[in-house]
Amino acid sequence: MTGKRQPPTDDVLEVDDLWIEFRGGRKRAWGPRSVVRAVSGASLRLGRGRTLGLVGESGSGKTTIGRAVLRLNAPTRGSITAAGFRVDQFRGAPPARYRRAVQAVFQDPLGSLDPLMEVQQILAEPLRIHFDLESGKRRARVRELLEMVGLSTAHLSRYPYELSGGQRQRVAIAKALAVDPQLIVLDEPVSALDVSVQSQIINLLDGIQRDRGISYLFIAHDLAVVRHASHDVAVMYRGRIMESGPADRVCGTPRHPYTRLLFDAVPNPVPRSMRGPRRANQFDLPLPDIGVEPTPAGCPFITRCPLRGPECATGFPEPTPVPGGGELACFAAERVLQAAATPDLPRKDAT
Amino acid sequence: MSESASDVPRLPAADVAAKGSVRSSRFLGRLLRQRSLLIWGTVVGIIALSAVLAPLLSPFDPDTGVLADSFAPPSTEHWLGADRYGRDVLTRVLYGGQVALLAAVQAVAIALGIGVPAGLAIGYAGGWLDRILMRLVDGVMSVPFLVLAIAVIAALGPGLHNAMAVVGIVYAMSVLRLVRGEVLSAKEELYVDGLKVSGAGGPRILFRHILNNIAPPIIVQATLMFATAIVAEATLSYLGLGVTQPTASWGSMLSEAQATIRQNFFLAVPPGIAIFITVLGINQVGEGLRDLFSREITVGRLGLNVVRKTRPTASEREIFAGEPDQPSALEVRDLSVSFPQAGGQRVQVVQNVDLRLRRGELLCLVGESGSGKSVTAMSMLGLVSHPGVVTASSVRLGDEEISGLDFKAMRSIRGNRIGVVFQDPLASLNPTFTVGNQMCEAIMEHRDVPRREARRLTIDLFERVGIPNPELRLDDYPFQFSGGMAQRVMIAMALSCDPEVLVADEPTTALDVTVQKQILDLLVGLRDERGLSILLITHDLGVVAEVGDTVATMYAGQIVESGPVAEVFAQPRHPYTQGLLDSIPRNVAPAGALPSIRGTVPQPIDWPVGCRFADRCDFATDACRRSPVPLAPTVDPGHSTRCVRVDELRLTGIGDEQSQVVAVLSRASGRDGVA
Repeated sequence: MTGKRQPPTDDVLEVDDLWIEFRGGRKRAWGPRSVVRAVSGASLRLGRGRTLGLVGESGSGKTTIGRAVLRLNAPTRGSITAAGFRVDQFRGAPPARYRRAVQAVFQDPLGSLDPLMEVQQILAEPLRIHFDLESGKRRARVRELLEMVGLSTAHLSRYPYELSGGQRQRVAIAKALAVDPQLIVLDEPVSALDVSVQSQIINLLDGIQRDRGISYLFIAHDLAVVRHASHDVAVMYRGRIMESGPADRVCGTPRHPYTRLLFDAVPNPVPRSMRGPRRANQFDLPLPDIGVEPTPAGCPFITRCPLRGPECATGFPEPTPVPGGGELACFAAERVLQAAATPDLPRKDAT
Repeated sequence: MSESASDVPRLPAADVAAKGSVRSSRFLGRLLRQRSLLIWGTVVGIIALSAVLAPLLSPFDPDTGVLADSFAPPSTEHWLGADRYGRDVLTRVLYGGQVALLAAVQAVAIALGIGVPAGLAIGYAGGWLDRILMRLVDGVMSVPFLVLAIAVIAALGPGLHNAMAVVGIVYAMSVLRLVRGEVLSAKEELYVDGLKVSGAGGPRILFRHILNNIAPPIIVQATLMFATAIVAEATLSYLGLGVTQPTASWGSMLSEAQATIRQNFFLAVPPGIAIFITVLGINQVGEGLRDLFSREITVGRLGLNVVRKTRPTASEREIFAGEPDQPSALEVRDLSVSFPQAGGQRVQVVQNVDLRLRRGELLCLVGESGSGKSVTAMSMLGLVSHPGVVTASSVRLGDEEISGLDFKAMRSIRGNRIGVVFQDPLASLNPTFTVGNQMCEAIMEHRDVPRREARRLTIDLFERVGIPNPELRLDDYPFQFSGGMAQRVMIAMALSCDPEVLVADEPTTALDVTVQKQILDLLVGLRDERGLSILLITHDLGVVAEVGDTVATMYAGQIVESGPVAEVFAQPRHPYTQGLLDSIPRNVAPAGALPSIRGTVPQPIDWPVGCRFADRCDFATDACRRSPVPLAPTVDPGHSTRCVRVDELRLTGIGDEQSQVVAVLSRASGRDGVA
């Protein structure tokens, strides 16, 4: 998905200062319940016909945000506006119109399809729920959906367990497309697939976006995949958004120390003997001693950050704009951006 | 390492076995294969039928007899004799069957009618409704049902229907519990989230989807309940709380027989046998249904499958020719693995694999899922599940031949000389013991050391694999470890007996990239510092480039290319390797569609005679499809490939940027693009 297209800029999804907390167990029988903070003050924007990649390691809160957009869990504070609906203000089940506007594809395509239903029943289900079609028209629509995702009528009467991983994911995509949504939350849609199949699915999703102008919230942990699949990228760590911006900028010249650490860890497909020597970087040095204990209100990356200072222990910074697009949340932003201008900055040796 | 069944990866035996049979008749086919279910089903069917047809089968009236026949012995007229009042016993047994079946149907119907909807509702709704109703259920279940039955009969008067209604209500409680439990776990399934997103409401999700998925345990439970309801009816009638005289029931017949046991003991036998056979039959049907519904294949003894030695094939080729003459740590010749097929044949999922892992080297085995890479590695270690058969002409560990060894010898080799690490570290650890305890057990099993010494060794190993505060972490349980730390524990366990070879099956696939990097650094450190030979199975060519010395690409059960990593990546000799290299997502500005390999790995039964990759290959010609392609050395030393057109093709390798395959020759045919 080249960032060259310039789709219209009205927002399909707007997340503003979102906080999501879960109540955990009690430490003592009559003690208060513990609170697990999954998302802390996240703000996101996704324009029509665009893809926003949400990346981070496990426990970063990226899936929690996706589920909140789908209203599979409820936000504690903040607002989510998706396809014109205030998702955070729904009481009880969201209206059917919202379900038609916002759809999802999950990571595990086998688990996300009813195991006792044939492909045609799986695809007919959303049509039955939302549209009053006569059975002939419904069958025609099911075939049309199958074709859209590159499957044939031979797959109509298969059960999910009889399909390969890539085929299952195609069925899941067809099911999401059945109601003609404006926004699809893609929760790690290719993580469970072989690399060769991953690209097939990414290409399929790209083609569908071009044809139908659907927006994607693409949740993933594979940074290289996200760069190909997204226009914009937001990097999360332990519930906080650390850096965001156009995909090429964030992935090409990552600025936040966490983003850099993350990209540095991606295996480089060029064998070691074919690369130049790896430059030393900040992460090889011992962490500076700041003499303050971290607090929950502070930056979550403080325990691994080579740029940390005392202010990082007690507060989380406001986002700073980055030249080239996007923002980063770092107290050392000035140092980071200055350092970025000089050549001895740790750059990824891959590209 | 421990030898528990959970260590052993699930092999695709079920897929292989299921493939090929016609889908629609699969359930019926499974049913017809269940011999005991068919036999007992027939028995129960005959009993039910003869009870229903009692008026046609017997000329006698069950309730009135001829006093002259009192205590008549079995005869041609009265096959089972007659009772005190001269009533025909066989007739009474048949009519008693009617009472028993009707009573059981009533009880089970009430149980399901109350239990299933209530269980569905409270399981799905949860919250305070669940809490209140479950306490009520606990209350009902803590009262013995006979006491309840007596109380109800005292209030409403005697009668079988009142009594069985009580039985039904008591049973409803256990149905409710079962259904609630099943709903609670089904509710967490991802497909339920998918349905919510589709806009399905609560009732639709519950009745159309969840109920179907939890039906099997309910059906089994209902069947077993049916059997106990028959016993309950007999008990109640025996005590006089059920049917009233003179109606025949197995329980009341037993009670009458007891009254006259001194005159004629035989009268107790027919109803007793009737109860016994009916209950036994229904229970067996229940068990049979349970087997029928369980999707899990019945795997025999897991991990007890040794490598059978075969004669070297006629064409004993020297495929390792031209390789640097370095001593090998693990070497396999002609390794094949086959699984039984529905039609009685066997299908080979791994075919004639030759592999050589040199000392101090890290060999990567790569391929898509379904290529057989995991099965290959596990089969060498004797870790292929039961119906699989592993053969090899030679498996050498160092200088020792280990093919043909029995399970016990293989087990000692696996613990002492080959360490194994699996993909999911938490699943490989026993959750109920501390990590230190399991480590010490593993060490003490293979080495004759006291516990104190084992503990010291464990701390050493934990330090070596980079687990901070090893003394403290030793007493933690597996769930207290993160994925990366748990994988370190697994590696420490694999290293505990100082192995020569480490086999790691996708050790970093479930981990985050930053953690993956740490684990890979650890493996590389073990190779460089301790000279450990490592066989790493992975689907990620990025990982191969980072850590591998040599690489073997597998496709459809065969090795299609092998050689030094730098050489294979720079100049692959097989289009499949090139396709895999092209598919790696790379952190570069995107240009057009991502390259991919069209199609998927075919099922073992569909593997073609010729080149197995031909159908997905952009360069395939008729020559490729004609006959099997051998793995042959290329011009480069130590680099071999299984490609007919190896001399014509010039593949681009990893290159410096993402580029499509460019061949010197024009594309072999018009087939183009991605599937």
